Formats: sequence, structure tokens, C-alpha cells
Amino acid sequence: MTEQDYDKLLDASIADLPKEVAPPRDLWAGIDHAIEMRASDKKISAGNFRQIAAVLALVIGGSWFYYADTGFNSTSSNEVNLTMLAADIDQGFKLQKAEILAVYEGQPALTLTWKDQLRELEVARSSVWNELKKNPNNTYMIQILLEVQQQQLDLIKNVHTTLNHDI
Amino acid sequence: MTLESLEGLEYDDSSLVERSVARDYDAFKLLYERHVARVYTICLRYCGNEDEASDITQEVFIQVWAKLENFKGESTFSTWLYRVTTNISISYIRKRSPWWARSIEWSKAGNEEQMRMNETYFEHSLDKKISDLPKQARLVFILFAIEGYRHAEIAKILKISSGTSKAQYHRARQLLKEKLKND
Repeated sequence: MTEQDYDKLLDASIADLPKEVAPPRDLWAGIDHAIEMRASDKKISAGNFRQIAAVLALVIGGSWFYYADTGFNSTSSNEVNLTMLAADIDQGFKLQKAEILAVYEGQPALTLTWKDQLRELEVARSSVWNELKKNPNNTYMIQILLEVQQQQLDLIKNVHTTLNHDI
Repeated sequence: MTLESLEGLEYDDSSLVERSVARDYDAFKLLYERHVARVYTICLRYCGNEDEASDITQEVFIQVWAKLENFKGESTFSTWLYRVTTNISISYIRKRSPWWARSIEWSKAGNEEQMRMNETYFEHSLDKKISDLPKQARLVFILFAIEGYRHAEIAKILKISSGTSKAQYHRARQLLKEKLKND
């Protein structure tokens, strides 16, 4: 065959390419759900700011209450115990988060912005954790740390399990 | 008006778009049903992976629902929709992790299922050959030879010069002809 023949063959093959291929699975359920989620996501997004602001307010408020309660006095043995507890919580969370992320790795998520949301929550968690490192006796902070960590784990699970369930 | 009553009537795209802009969800579902196969095919050609193509297709319709009021009616709805599909697909390809990272993910996930799924689509031999082209040559070839964009438009979409688009198209053709010769 000549070069021109191959050109013709290529053009004929292009013309033969299917114009439409049906998707291998129903995609509407996921779209339907995501539209619904994103509608509430807008509220969440605005709420996210409020959530983070609330966490920061709690961090600041918690610190104030802590100092007001203790009058800056703390026993060193309590401090050591709570430091260890906070470190355990932090370590445990990191492991749990890594495990959950590994489970869902490569799986489709309900929104494309979930990683941004996760990062925002991680920023909030870091603020709490930094505050705890400075004041390990502050039990308010431990409560808030647990809450923000749980929000992260819930987010990872929800954006994956809801979509996989629906499709 | 319910989806059942809409289905019984012959609505053209523009009426369905009008209804969808007015937040008629049933009308939007009919638009989806009418165009999903074409949108999916465009996505599949760009990304070469059925799972990703499904995800991008979903993202296209989610974004279209959110931004339907941006459609000004300067072209037909299908032209606008396929352009949106092209933009989202290319943006997705640009953002996705490099090939080596994806290889690790695939091998971790035990990607036999994915490979098998892709084989079902890539039975068409030219599509298989196109999917094996280098990324830029592949995108330019699909845009020009299959989707019918002009080089000037491709240059804007891919943020390259018109000359580069022509060169990449020529390269793609040469590579495809070589593959045809080896068949």
C-alpha cells in the first residue's frame, strides 16, 4: 500500500469511529445525588467558614477559661499525663485517617472539592493541636480536637460511601 | 409537569433548556438522557479510561445544571454542551496525577477489572491506537479530526500556538499510519 492509501485508510477509520458509546453503568443516580449534595454544600460551604470560625473561637475561649480556672497553676504530673493522652489521640487519629484514606483510594468521590474541605478541617485541627501542645492540661481543647478529627473521618467516609452506594 | 408527561411530548433541546433554567429537574433529566452517550464518548476518548470517563461525565452534567444560565443560545445546546465536556475533560486530564502515580494506584487497586472494562470499549482498533498516542498529540488529534475544532480553537483550548497544534496533528497522523502499517 502507498502512503496515500494509508491516509485514505486512516480517514475511513476516523469516519467509522462510533459517535456514541453508552456508559457501562447508570450515571444519573450519582448526578442526582451530587446536585442535591452541592445544593446543601453551598450551605455547608458557608457553614464551613462558620465551623472553622467556631473552632477557633472555641480554641481562644477554651484557653481563656483554662487560664481563668487554673490561674496559670498546674501540677507537672497531670500535665505529663495529659500531654501523653493528647499525643496518643493525635497519633491514633493519624493512623485511623491514613487507614480510611487507603480504603477509599482510587474510588470515585461524591464531590471534587472534598480534599479542599479536608484540608480546611486539617487547618482547624492543627490550630487546636498547637494550642494543646502549649497547654496540655486544657481538657476543653482535647474535646475540640476529638470533634474536629471526627469531622474529618466522617467527611472521608460520607463522600465515598454515599456515591458508591447510589451508583 | 412530570417526567412522564414530558416524555410523551416532542420537546426540542431549546425548550428543555428553557425549562431546566427555570429549575425543571425533569426537563434536565431528559436532556441528560438525550446527550449522555455522546458526552460519555467524548470523555472516554480524551481520558482513555472508562471509570474516569464516567466520573467526568457526571461532573459535566452537575456543572451544566449549576451553570445552565450561562448558555446564551449563541450556538445549539449540543454544541455548547460538547464544548463544556471538552473543557472539563481537558482540565481533568491536566490536573490528574502523573502516569507513574496512577500506575501505582492501579496496581494497588488490582486493576484487572479496569483493564477488562477498557478492553470492551477499545475493541475499536483506531480508538485503541489513538489512546496509545502521546498526550498532546492525542488531544490535538481528537479535537481536530474527531470533534472538528479548528487549529486556532485548539490553540486556545490547549493554550498552545496554532503552529504547535498543526505539528502535533501531523505527528499524530504519522504515528497512527505507522500503527496501521504494523497491523
